[in-house]
Amino acid sequence: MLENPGPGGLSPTVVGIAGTAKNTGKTTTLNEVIRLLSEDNTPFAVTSIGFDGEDFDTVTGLAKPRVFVPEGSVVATAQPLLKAAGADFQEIRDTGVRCALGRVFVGRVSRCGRVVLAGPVTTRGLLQLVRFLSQTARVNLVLVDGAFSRMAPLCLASHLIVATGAARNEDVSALAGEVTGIGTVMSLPLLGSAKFAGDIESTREVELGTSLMVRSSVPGGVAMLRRAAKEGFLTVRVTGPVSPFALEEFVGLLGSELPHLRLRFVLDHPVNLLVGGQASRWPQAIASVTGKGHEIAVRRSTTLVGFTLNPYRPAFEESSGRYRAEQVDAAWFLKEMRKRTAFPLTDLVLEGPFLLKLWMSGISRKPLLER
Amino acid sequence: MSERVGERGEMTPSAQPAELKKIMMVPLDPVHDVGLKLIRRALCERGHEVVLLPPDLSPEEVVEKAREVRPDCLLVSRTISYGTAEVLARFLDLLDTAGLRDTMRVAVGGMSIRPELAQEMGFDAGFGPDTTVEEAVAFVEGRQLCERGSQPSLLKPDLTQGFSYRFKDEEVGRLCGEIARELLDWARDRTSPGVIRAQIREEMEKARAEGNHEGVTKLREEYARLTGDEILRFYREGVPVSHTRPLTPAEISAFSALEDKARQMEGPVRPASAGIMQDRVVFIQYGTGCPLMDGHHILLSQAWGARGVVHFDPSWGARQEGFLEGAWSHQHDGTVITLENLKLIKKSILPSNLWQVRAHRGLNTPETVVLAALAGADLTKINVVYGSLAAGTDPERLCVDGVKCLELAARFGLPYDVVTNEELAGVPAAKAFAGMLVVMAAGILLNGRPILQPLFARSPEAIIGGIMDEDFVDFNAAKVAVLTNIVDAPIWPGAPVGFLTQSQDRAQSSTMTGLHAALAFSLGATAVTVASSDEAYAGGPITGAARVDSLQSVAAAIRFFGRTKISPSPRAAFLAEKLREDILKTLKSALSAGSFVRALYEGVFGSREEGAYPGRAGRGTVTRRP
Repeated sequence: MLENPGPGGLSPTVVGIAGTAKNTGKTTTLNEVIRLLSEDNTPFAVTSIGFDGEDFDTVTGLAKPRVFVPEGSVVATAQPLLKAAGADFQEIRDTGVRCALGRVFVGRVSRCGRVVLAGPVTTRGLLQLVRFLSQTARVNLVLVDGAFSRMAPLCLASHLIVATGAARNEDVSALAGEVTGIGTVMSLPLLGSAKFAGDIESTREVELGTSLMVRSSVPGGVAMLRRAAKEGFLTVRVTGPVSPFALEEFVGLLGSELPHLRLRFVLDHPVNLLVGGQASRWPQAIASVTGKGHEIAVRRSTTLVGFTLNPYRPAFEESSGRYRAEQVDAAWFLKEMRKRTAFPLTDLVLEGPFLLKLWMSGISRKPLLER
Repeated sequence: MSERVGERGEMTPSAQPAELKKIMMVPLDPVHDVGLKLIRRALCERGHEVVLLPPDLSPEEVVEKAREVRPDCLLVSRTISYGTAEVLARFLDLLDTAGLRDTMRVAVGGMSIRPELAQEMGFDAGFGPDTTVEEAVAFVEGRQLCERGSQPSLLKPDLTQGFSYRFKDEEVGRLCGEIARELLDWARDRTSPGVIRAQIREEMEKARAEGNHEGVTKLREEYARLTGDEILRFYREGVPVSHTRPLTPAEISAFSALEDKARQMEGPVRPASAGIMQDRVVFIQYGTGCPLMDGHHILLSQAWGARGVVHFDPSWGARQEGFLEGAWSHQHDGTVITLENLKLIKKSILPSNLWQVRAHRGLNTPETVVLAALAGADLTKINVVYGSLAAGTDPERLCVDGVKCLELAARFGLPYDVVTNEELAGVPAAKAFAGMLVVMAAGILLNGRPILQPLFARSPEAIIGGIMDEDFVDFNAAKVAVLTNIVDAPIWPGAPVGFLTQSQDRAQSSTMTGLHAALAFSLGATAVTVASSDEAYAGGPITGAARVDSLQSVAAAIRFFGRTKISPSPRAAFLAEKLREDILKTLKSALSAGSFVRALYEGVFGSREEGAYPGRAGRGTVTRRP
């Protein structure tokens, strides 16, 4: 994991818009965030860790919403896309970052219009771009549009909005379980927080790289601890992805082999858990860990602002071999999701941007009432 | 990478890599991918270390292996459908979170991969079904595929190189020589407005180059006096010829972008075309009426493997005495010939490719050769017989002008093809060939570099006589055989090949074009001319996509046959012998007629019954030289 300057993320403020799958409404959410910031005259830059704003979906071929950028905003995208954009740009600069579609350039919008976003695809690339935007383009707020369900580079974000919906799963219970899992993981305490003061003092640290990525690696991880452990406490630094099943198995095996050992698992970022898969399993896995007297902390985190919910889903027709657009009952979907999870949810199309506006006011630190 | 990666397994010769890499290859599909194995072979041949994982591993297992191997580059092959793209995206997240993503370059390949999808999933590059091995290797080595020094530059072909022009068939050669000498003697003390205008044009451009504006004006006035009504009205009153308009300044400026693009193009865009097509000279025909659109068509065609382009001018231009000046767009088919138009179009032609401007019919043929030379064309087209029997020009006039064209072409060093398009009017191939050989002989006597252009077409002769009822191979093969046996000269079938074998179905049309082109090359042709797949039926502007259809089809056919030979049946030898007999008969008749010009009028080289009609444009305009 990359090091970055502050405990809560980077300076400038970076707002990530992630999705739990394709077609969950990231672009709609992004456009709404852009509109709110523009309405508020809050300057910002926008980029993507994937490819967004195209006319038709890269997999389903169905129409997609476009990305519109207002005058004064800064766009970071692949050079050919900047040239082909419907907007006009000035102060165009090469960031030195590369992506699959070419070098990433930034430009300040001189005439509003449509743009397709394609930016850095790696964490290091995004860090390089954000630094460039801060130092060279003097930007204080960066919007980073996600791609598919990719999360890793968004660990650099200070704030995260997650788009989910029927395209991910039409089963409300399963989807709500996933939302709760994501929310629970993103709420893990920071290592430096008051929670960990004084209770468990760690004097020794062991690093487990990817030993908690799959269950088959677990015995090797336990063996590593066996060599390092005496009775008492130990800090276990986990730098790679973590699977909930592997973690549960790890603490189970630990319990039978080293029953008196208590651990503080320290992860780089909650994203390490989310990329390990099965988000809905995490509340159970975390409870299993803490229930046995262990702790889980993160070195850095991102504030999860809320979830946007999209009732849309592309349905594949076997007969024609094509996708068609469908949706579940939006009002029912939102109501049932809210019954099943305590984490903040909104459907932008159904409810309008009120909740999103509230979230954004928290991010940009402008009280809602001042508007 | 997919199974269809690369048309060719072999590598384009290039320098050894600057740095050897460790590459890990992963087929994330349940079965092994042939494409990955092809690329592995190429990488190993270049000294790189390659680890090919077995198929059907989970993303986590691949990440574990990547931790162990620590490759510089990871190549993933996977079939994409809804859901699997997310698996790959998650795989990249795992790599990133494991701290490995920034230590290696990662690419994905598969049948439905496009760069945009690769970008969305988080890869550094994406390779689709048409990816070649060379492209994949270039990615691994961190270089652009067509960067300078890594690929040999193409040289401009010389279609006449290595040919002696010796008549192997002495009897035919003797007859052609006699008739040709008579033609040249007859033409020596004759002139026409076309000949004089060509001379004036040359002087005018020389004066212009010297900055002699007064001289230009004076010569222009002299020129105008020798033009026909519509052209004269342009020079006197500035009235454009009907259905034309001047190009706008914006349109003229747009040619700079075409020139930049042509300069940037190292060769065909698709490496597969570069390999297959680069040593087969395939010409396309352009002439939309708009020089700017022509420029785009030319760029497109060159990007897809065309090594030569042929200018088509409007048919009305051939019936007018004189040319316009300036850059003009024409509302209908055919792009007006002016020096300015030609110079603009030249900007879109790659330096390594050939450009032909035709001077084979009409009242402006000598001036066309002059303009072609001044504009930088590489070839022209000259044939007195076709132009006078099937294109409306008076035979006497075209003989005078045609001989002048032969002289000018020799002086300017322009090779030219001698085409037998009168076959399309119904003239039997033997008679058309006889005329072609006489014109060639005249050209040789004037130290020119003629190229024989027999038609590869389903001509009326073939249709009525049933000659091509069984196949399209034997008669075409016979044509090439008889010519090859008669004279050691380049043969360039046209124009285009496959004419009248194509239908409105683009697939059928493209296939016919490709097969005819492959046949021509198999028979030893130096070049071929092909049409776009909609050219015969467009009824208007042809499309870029249709051009690509044809060129793709030609590339595929050439790839299919490679260096193998297409063997005609024994019937071809019989047809060739018959052709020779009839050529001899025609030549003897021409000699008996007493003059080449009389032979044209009297139908020796094609009669009215056969569909050949001596033209009337320019009749009575030939005069004796003072």
